[in-house]
Amino acid sequence: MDASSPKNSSTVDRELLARVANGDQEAFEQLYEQTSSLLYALVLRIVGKPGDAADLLQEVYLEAWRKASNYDSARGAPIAWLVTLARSRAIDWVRALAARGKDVTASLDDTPVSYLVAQDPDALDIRAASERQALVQASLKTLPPVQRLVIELAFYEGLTHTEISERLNVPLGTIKTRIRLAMEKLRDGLQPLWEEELGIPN
Amino acid sequence: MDHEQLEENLSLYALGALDPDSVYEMEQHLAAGCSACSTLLRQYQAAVTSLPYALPPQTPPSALKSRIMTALSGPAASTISVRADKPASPVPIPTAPPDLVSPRASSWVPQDLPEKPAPQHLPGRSEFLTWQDQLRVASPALATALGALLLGVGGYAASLYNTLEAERTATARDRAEVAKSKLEIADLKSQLEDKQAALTKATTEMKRALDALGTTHELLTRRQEQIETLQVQLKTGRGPKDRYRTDVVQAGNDDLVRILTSPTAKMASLSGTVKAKEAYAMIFVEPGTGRGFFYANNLPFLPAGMTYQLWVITDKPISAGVFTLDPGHKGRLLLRGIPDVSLIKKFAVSLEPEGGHPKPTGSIYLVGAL
Repeated sequence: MDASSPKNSSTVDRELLARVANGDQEAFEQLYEQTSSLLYALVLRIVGKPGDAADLLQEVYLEAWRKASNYDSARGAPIAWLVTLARSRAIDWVRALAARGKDVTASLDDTPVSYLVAQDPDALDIRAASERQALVQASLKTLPPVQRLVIELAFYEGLTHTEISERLNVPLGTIKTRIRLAMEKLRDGLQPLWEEELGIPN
Repeated sequence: MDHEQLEENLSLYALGALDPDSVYEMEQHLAAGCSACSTLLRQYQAAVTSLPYALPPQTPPSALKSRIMTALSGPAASTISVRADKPASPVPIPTAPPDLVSPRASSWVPQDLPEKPAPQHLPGRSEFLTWQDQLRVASPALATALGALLLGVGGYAASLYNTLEAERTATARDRAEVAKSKLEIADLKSQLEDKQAALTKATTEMKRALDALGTTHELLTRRQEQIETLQVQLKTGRGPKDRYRTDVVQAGNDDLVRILTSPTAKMASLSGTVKAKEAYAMIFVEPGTGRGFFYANNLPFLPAGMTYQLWVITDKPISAGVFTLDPGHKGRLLLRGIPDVSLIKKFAVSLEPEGGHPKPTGSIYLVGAL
């Protein structure tokens, strides 16, 4: 992988995050520039409403600011840390709303399955803006639709394999198998990516 | 649960899709220092956290950045209310106190985002040492001595060890291959089941179509028999002439035979609308002569004062005649003056007042095209 590729979220370096951890606001602003379109897309995909997504994203960045010193580079790239944080908070948000019986329940349960599957295959071609994006999209495309669906339901809807099994009315064992197969394919397909992220211990 | 089963659950765990009770067991295992699982987990997690790259990038509202930067320098960065038009966030977002974080949804977060070095903090890569390394660290002298001893005893022990290691690796690899194949077989099986279901459905549909064709064939045979009988009777001059004056025969057996046996005849298949799901019909048209034959089955019986009317639709619907049903739910019509087949877009049957209507007014019961 090309380590000198232009500035985007794939190349948030550890040094930048270290500066953020030291309270460097300029570094934080840079971090925001490099990551916000990816994280906003992620949060928006999970919570659905732009207003909620913006509020939530603000919380995520403020949390990142406070906790930057806890970031452990041995665990993965800074962007992986941010993605994990943003995804968790967004799913917490959706769950909390659902628990209060808010309208989001509808969007969780009524999301047409076809939308989840259909949005990937060809729409993806147009949007590959970076090498990394192209790699992830290409890896996702190698998955059969049933496997892509379980990945989407787990990652973006925050469903466990039991919940997915109930949602799709497919036996538990089949769901587990699909997730495993899909994950193995993704891991294989994204090998250049995690080698880059995990290969260099500081 | 043994290591193998746990390793199988790793990908689900990395995706955050493992059920909560299994999560606990997995985390115990990882905390116990399984280096193989930890390495694999990081690979899976790196893959998972790359997933959002597949989304189309979205630019957040332009005001967001300044809102965040303002909140940073504000006195209470961690508790500031973020939305002007709303008194508070719809849910208590875990802001400052980390213990508000829902343990479930973020079950895989703590190990990525330790608040502080947790007691069961997973050992880092550097903490996993081979026994040789551990020995070397513990006692360089002992290691050296052991090395000398190994050399002294001869390369045999070392080579034996290497062979054993190689074999162990090979076995592990084979086992992984087998496990992977098993998964693939299971998935193929489920795909096969889906295909089989689709095939069964297609077979049923085909059978219905064949039934319809069979009926037509039967009808044709019967008509030919009638004609033959009639011809014999005509030749011999026997038999009451009126006996066979049914509508069809009267309309011209010659036409019917010619149409049904013509190699150039075109066939249209009509199927029942919601009004008559079981109904179907066929139309045979002989190009160039404007003649044809219509046969319908399974239409509902007509209400009093009503009739079925067949329409040939070109740029407008043209009546091709009215018909009623025999006691077996069958209806038939001999057709004349049908427009050229190239102009025909569709055929349709509607319910009309007795005697028919210049244009279709009632519900459509059958529809189809050539």
